[in-house]
Amino acid sequence: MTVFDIIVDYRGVLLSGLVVTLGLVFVVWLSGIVFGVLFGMLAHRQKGSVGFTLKFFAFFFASTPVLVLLFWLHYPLQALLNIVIIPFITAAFALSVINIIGIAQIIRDTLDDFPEQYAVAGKVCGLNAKEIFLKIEFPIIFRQIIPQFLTLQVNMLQMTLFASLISVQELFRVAQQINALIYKPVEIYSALAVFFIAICLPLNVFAYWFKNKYTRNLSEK
Amino acid sequence: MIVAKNISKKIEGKEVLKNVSCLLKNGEIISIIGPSGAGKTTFLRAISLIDFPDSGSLQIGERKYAFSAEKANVIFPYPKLTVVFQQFFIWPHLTIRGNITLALRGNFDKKYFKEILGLLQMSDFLDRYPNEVSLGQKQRAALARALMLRPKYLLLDEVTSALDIEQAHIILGHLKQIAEKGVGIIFVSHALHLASQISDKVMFFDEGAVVEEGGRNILKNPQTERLKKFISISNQIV
Repeated sequence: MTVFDIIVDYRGVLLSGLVVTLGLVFVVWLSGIVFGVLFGMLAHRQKGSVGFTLKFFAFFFASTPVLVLLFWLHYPLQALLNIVIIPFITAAFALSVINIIGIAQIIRDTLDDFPEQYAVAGKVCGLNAKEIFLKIEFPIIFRQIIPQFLTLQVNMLQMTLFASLISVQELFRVAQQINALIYKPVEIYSALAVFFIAICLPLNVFAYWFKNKYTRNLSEK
Repeated sequence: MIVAKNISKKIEGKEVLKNVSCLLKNGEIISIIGPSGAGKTTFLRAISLIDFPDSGSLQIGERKYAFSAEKANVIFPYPKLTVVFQQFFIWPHLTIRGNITLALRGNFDKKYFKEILGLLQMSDFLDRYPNEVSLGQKQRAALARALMLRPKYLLLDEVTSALDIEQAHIILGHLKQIAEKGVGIIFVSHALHLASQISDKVMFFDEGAVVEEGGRNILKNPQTERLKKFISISNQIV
């Protein structure tokens, strides 16, 4: 049985696993962008309160393995609270929180490092606040953020694999189940690797290219 | 005309400008000299309203500013008055051409642009990004960006520091030509020989105050011991 045969024979379950993986990563990416950007901007503006909160969570999540967090949210927390939450939501929540904190850190650090004098230079050239934001601040900040942001999003896609360990029927778990039926680990996991490489490699290469081409040293503070 | 009267400013409790007054007429070049930390750049930033003074008054052209006023209500004088900074602050996401033309909106004068390019010898690196050019080229780009705005008042903070002697003299010569067209220029510099070459007036700053001022002859015949010492040390270094 070749890789192609496996894909054809199990296309239904593979597709459902793919849909779950893509759904999970979509939730994680979207919540990260929306709440991470907001959190990061607030942390930049209110360094004392929100900034400290972000630092605290950043240290906490940096010190907690994803797997431990997922297990803890899925088993002990739900037992303690005497509730049952479907694994997909638990996984989406845990990974979203990690992504939100990661994006917030990128945004906060980039805004903190932005040399205000670039805006002052725009001001003394007669640009108004809107022009300064659109023509100077936003393009520079965007260029600084994109490479780190893409790398983080690729990592988040890879982290969705951990969701299989709390029984989310995503692609990796489906692959495990097929393997349990036909025992073709080389073919199955190779196909899985090809899938992830096909998505992650272009994103990583793009991030690398973008960084080299557009990201600048802003040390001229 | 720029009239600054009794400009004072404190930073973190320390008085960094002490009742400094200055009169810049159209077409005049004033050099501000002094040791590091004397308050030269602070004064430049104060009279260009980048950092507001704590007290004093300022008139830029017809517009008057008193510094009890709220910052929010201030109508800034840019780009009629513009500043070239010591650190250039060339926008890194734009080419040198983009930097020079960004603030022009629809007022792009091709003939004047070519004139500036020739003046500052910039044609070779116009389409490069700031990270691809030298410090001297960045400095010329910053100067070109300001000149393209056709300001009436040009405040220059150490704009020749990254240029070689020959280039610095060429640019100073052109600044003189620009002043002759009626542009008032304030030129902050460590280099006394440059100040003595182009200035109509010289102000010597030390510890946030003007210690001595007058025509450029004060650099040859200083009246205060402090300026004598400063000139003597500067000459030894040169």
